[in-house]
Amino acid sequence: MKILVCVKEVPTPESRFAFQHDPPGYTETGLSFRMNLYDEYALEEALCLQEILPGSSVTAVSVGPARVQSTIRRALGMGANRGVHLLDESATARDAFGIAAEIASWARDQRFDLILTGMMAEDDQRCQTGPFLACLLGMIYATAVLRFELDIARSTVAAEREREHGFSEILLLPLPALLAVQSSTRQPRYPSLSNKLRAKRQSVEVIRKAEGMEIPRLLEMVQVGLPESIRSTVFLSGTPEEEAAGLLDVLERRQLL
Amino acid sequence: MNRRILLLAEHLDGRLSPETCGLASLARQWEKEAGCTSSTWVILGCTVSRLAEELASVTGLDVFVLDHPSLALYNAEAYAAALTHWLEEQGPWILLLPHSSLGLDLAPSLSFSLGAPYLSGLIELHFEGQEISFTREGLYGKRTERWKPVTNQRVLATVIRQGRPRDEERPVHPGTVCTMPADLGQLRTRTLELRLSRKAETGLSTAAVVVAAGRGIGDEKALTLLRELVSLLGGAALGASRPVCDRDWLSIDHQIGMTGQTVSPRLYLAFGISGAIQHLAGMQDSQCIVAVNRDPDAPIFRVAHYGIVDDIQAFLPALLRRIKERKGMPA
Repeated sequence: MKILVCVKEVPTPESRFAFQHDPPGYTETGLSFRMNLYDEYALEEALCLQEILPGSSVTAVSVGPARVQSTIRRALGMGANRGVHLLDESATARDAFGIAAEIASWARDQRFDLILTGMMAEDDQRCQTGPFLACLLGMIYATAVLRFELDIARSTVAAEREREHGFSEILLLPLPALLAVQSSTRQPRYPSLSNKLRAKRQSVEVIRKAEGMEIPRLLEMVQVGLPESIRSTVFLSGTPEEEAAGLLDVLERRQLL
Repeated sequence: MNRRILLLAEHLDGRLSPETCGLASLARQWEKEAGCTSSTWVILGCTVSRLAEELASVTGLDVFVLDHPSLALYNAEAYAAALTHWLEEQGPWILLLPHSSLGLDLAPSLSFSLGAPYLSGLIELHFEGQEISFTREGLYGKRTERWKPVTNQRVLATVIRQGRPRDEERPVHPGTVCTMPADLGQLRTRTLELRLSRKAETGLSTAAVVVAAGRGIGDEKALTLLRELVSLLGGAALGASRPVCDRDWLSIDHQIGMTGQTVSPRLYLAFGISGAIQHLAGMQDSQCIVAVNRDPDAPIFRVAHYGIVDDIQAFLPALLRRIKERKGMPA
């Protein structure tokens, strides 16, 4: 079983962003980045499969500037066999179709049996890259996958995907397929010392965009701005004790307690 | 331009989903701004005429039904096949889908097969002459992004409803319902079953006070303090944002937000919740919202009545002490 996991490197959620307007984007200086949590779940599922399926391999791929190599190295540290970096300095401003097209142009002749992605990136929350990648590769996909089971003999996968209000649905898909996972049945593992040592020695394959290759897009980001506040929030400040007392005063005055 | 706004109606377990009904009032607002011809529903399924009639009478809009036995249960491949055939024959359109598990699953496949630009998480649609652009929130809800489609004869978007849909008067004239057999071709996917996998028995929907935990609480230990807070406040229940449930700190029944529960208590206390739009959708109608987060840029502060920028680990013990003090309880 040849498995591909797509991982995105995201800025940490608590980041304070400085926006740029021409072209629209944000300054990366001073920000810290890490692997998208949903992709960690996808990688964990892939690594569990690798443990029970002899002769299988897990490749981690990421699109972005040079910094994303640290996320690929983390994937290697967690146990992926191979790390691939599709170098793209402008990845953060691209639409998801463009990112999917970059991955597809590299993955097309690699013949993966199963592609796993997180159900979304925590920062952009578009839920598009995985499904678009499947479309570009002519694969069937399912998103919001809670759990899945492979049937190697029949070359199918049964996937449970989450709907609203406590419902879920069970799908039967032919392999090769792409699954965008919602969460893992297990918590993502930490990189092991032995894998970390191996990851250090192992090189990440860097693939540069072919000369003259146009990356397609369906949408273009033309402007960024700050979301409007719905309310004028009253901020309570001071020491934690003062904040707590201030809050209780307000809530008692408004008879909310 | 004679563009039409098409609305995808979603149904689950024999009922129109709440995500669907909010689409109609948005479409009405947008069709006026854009001078589009009247909006039309499309609903897929197997013998769903009762739902189609309901849509037509509640919204007053016309309904197209694409009917096929293989559409009885949802899967992206079957839905996309049926819709692609139908949409190819329509004039210029904007297709709006609910920003739900189904909408997000289906839209990429439709976008690809029709070559139609697709925006995820639309909150506003703009028209300038023949040009269309979309606004969404990105980067953890910390910025708005305006995107322009490279072609605009056919575009689609999943729509995030902001706030409660306005109570509109029932239209005088119901829309007409037109049923057509769907053309699906060969399918590779099969949906085996729709199951109800969890029931919420957390008392969240009726609680007067909701104490909600987000990823920013730091670790599982903070939950013990939050549980203590819940027991100190009368009529309170414990809820959480999605990341907390995904980490198994609390069971999924506690989740508040788009795929979880919608609550509107008298008092909503958000601890370490950043306020992704998915979460806000499930709680922003609360009467009084208090947010505690150490990130001053967290979008939760945009909806909060009162805000405290501090570490949960420092603030929460202080709050518990003060409450006990006021109740005359030993610390």
